Amino acid sequence: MTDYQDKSFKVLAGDRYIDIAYREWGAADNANVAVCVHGLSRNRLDFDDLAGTLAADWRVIAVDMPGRGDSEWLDDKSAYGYPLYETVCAGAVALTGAEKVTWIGTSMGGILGMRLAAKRGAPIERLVLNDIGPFIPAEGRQHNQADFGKDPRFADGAEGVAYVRKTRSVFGPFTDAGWEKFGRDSLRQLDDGQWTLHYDPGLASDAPVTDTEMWELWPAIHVPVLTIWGVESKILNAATVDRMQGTGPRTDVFAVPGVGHCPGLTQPDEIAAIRNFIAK
Amino acid sequence: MSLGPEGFHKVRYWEWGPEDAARTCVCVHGLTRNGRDFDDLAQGLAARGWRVAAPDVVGRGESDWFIGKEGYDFATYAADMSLLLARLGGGPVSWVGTSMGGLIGQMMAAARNAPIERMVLNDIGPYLDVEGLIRIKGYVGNDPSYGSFEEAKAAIDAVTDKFGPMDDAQRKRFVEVAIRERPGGAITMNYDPKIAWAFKENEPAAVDMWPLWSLIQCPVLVLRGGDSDLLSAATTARMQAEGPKAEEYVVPGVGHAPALMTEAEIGRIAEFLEA
Repeated sequence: MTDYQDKSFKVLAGDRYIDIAYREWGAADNANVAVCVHGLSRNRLDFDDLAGTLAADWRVIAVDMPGRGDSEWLDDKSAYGYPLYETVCAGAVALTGAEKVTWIGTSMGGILGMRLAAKRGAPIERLVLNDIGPFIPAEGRQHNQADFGKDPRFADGAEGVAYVRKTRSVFGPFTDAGWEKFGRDSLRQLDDGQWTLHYDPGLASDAPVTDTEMWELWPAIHVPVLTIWGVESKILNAATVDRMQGTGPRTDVFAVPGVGHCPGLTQPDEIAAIRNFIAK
Repeated sequence: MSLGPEGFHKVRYWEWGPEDAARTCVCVHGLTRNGRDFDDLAQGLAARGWRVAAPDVVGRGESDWFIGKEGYDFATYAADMSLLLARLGGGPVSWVGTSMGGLIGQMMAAARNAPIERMVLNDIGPYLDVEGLIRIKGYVGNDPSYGSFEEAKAAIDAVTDKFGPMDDAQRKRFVEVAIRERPGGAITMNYDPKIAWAFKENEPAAVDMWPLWSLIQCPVLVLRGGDSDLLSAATTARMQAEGPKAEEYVVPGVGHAPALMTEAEIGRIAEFLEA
């Protein structure tokens, strides 16, 4: 894998600064900057394959949102949410010094990309949305969050990887080695030697799951968009993809057949699709 | 680029010294001023091996202006400065804040896990006397037009005669960086008049932030203009006794605020920051 560095910066969250972890690839003086943000329960390591490939031509930043990966967990769980995440994302853009960046967001990271790109003066010049759009049906969210915040314990890493592979079987496609990495990246070891998932279980809220409607963002986005679509996805359905192609920024679509929510961005064809789009 | 109530806005900053310097200092100006006020201090620190960044707070100098007025508040300023720290590498910094810049610094330093190692407060503390605020309200945000540099200089000199000490060249630069030319050629102030909205819409009242003071963990040096009408000797006495127990350095014969342009002031700040 190409060389990278793990670094951090601080973001003001209420009455304290929290430490935000990010991984950086490529030359710091490269003006072509891509910022990658992961999905709800995931972390920056999901972009290792993609970023490692892009790093030949790009400076790539992949950020852990608060409560995930190596970023800090909040004492006040109610402060988790898009306003704080947007501040973190603005910090990630600011640290690069770039006037404009390419945004690559998987699921929640794509929602953040849409929210930011729709704002006045947004420092985003193109957007890659991985299996996410301006509409999410309640059923898809229920399915996606079925085990979210359950805080399971595993006797060893292998048991944890097996759990992730079972509960995230719609992800991919992954090779066996890819599943092993995806599984390991999902885990952390506790002081007592057991293993658990690599996010704060306090992220889960007990608010009722409803349809999420964000179409007001779509026409406010004025940059090219590529949508990677897991054709079996319950989060991004065909009707939404149709409307994303026909209105607003009229997204390009790269369909990944046989995969649900969401494509893993480890396959050569997925990486090539992104690389070609962002090189335009 | 920073994120605020109107979307993204640009915050520019002036930078001195090497990017890979071991120590970084952020200098933040007063209400109507901008980062250029720190030219002398920044050069002095850079010569000692520091990296120095002096932003123009949003609405001032070369930074963007908001469309509305509500964005001009301390929550925005603290968020913007936090992003600047990320831009500077995300590590801890020293802070020099004149007046408003010192208010922002106190707010940031009072947060837990704050990335501020040492802080210099220039004629500002956790308590602001009402006399100074009434005086500032009299001139801030009046959006004047001047026909010539001399006319502008006379007007600015009149409301900043307590700033100092400065030699003639420094005084000239102090005015030059504070003005800009309007599209028709007239000269006006180099800030958005809307930054003054809170002053204009509220009756002046003393500002009390003592609860914040007790939360500040880093060492503090407070510079006080001996004739300041914003920071009293009583306030600095309490600043020395409580919370971070500040050191005090008095600049005699100067009001609000010392200009940080003399060898003595720059030397005292450097000595404190390098202690």
